[in-house]
Amino acid sequence: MKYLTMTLPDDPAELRTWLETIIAHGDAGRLADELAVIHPTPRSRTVSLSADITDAVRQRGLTALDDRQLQTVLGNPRVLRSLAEDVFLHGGAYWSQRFVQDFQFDDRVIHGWHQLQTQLFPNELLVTPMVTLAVAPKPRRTISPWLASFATAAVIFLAIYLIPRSKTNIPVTNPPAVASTRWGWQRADELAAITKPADYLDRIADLADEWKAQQTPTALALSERITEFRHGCTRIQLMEHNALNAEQRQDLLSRCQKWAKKFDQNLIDLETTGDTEKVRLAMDTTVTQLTTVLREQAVKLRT
Amino acid sequence: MLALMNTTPTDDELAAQVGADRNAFEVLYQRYARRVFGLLATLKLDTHAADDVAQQVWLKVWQSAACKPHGSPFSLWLMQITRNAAVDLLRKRRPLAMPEEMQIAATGHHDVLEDVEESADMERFRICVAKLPDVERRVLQSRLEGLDSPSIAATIHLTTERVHRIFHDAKQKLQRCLGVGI
Repeated sequence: MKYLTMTLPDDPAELRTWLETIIAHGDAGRLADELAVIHPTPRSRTVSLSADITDAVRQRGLTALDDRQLQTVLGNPRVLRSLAEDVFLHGGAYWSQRFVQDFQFDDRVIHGWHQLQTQLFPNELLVTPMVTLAVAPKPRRTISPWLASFATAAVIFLAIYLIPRSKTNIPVTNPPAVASTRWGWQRADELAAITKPADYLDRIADLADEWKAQQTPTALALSERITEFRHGCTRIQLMEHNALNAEQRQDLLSRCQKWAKKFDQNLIDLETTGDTEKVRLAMDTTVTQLTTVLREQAVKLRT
Repeated sequence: MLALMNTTPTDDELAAQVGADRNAFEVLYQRYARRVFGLLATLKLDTHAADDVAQQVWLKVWQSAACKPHGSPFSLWLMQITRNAAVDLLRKRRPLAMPEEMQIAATGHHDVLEDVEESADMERFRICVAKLPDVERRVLQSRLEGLDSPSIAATIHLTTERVHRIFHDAKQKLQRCLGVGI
């Protein structure tokens, strides 16, 4: 078992970030249990945060709390539980972003979707959510990208990707050769022609989406594709990104560093376990996450 | 058709189509599946139970989202049915409700959840914390309340450096006692 108290940061200035991560990861209930052990004296049931403060936390996260209010949360397990539940029920865009950025629960999200498909749409082939984005040209300034052109995407997707993995279990005995041309972020030099930040982020997402069209029937093929993607990630990190301002650039770089770690870990997992299905799923999940984040950022920049 | 709309559809626009349009359902799933799992984890459902409850919830969304109460935002409706499903499950797991628990239950779901039995791991945590010397427990307590070392030092009349050292000693002792790494 992971004891959250053991991860308490040395620097009190990091407490808000620490606690926010715990809440976003769904660990606040367990932390509250630990706090109840550390603070054994029964606290008053009347201690709570005011409605104004709670509303500010819904919109801006724990930076909305001053030191005293933070102490109230950490000193009262009941208040912590209540606040954590509240942000899941009422949290705004800040928390929506927070819930997706650490890749928490992604495997279960995909597994859950497959189960729902089996129950609700039993006659359809299993489709990993958002994989439909893989080949769908992203419409500009219109609609959530993975909805648009769904039919077209589905047809192409079925043709190049899904059928070999479908319930029919068609064996892939002689997979088509993977294109030797550059794909994904290896073509990041194309970004230089884009001047608008939102279009720039969208294009990075589009390039990343090309991952999903890569066929990886063997562990070796998968490792090669991951390595290529990882190199593309390095390329993105080392580019100047002239279309972005300093803050946007820094945000992209910090995200890229996280994604790079995920790719590295996926490669290690593949080398350690040889489990191509699991690693492919992990890569699909990571790519889906990062394209979603990039497109959400692009939408924000446009509004 | 959603795909022909000129703007990103809102949750409620999508919810109105769920049941007839699986794409709308899938978009909502993508937007909120993590949040559902996060709330279930916060309520301390184990992985297996949380997966089951999440399935129930999304099936209900498919069946009823188009008929959800008018004026209630989709996200709030979704998270409330998630919470209610979790609370129902936790209640079923405790067939012999104690009078006090029943009394607490009358005041709201939240308190019921607090009284779920502690796991063996938490009992071990309790024992390890109890083994700490008073001063170490007090420093740990204060740090967990968000106080910095100088503030704690002023309260218990020790130097800041000493408080810092005590805090680290306490963490190390807990780590050894619990058999975990930091």
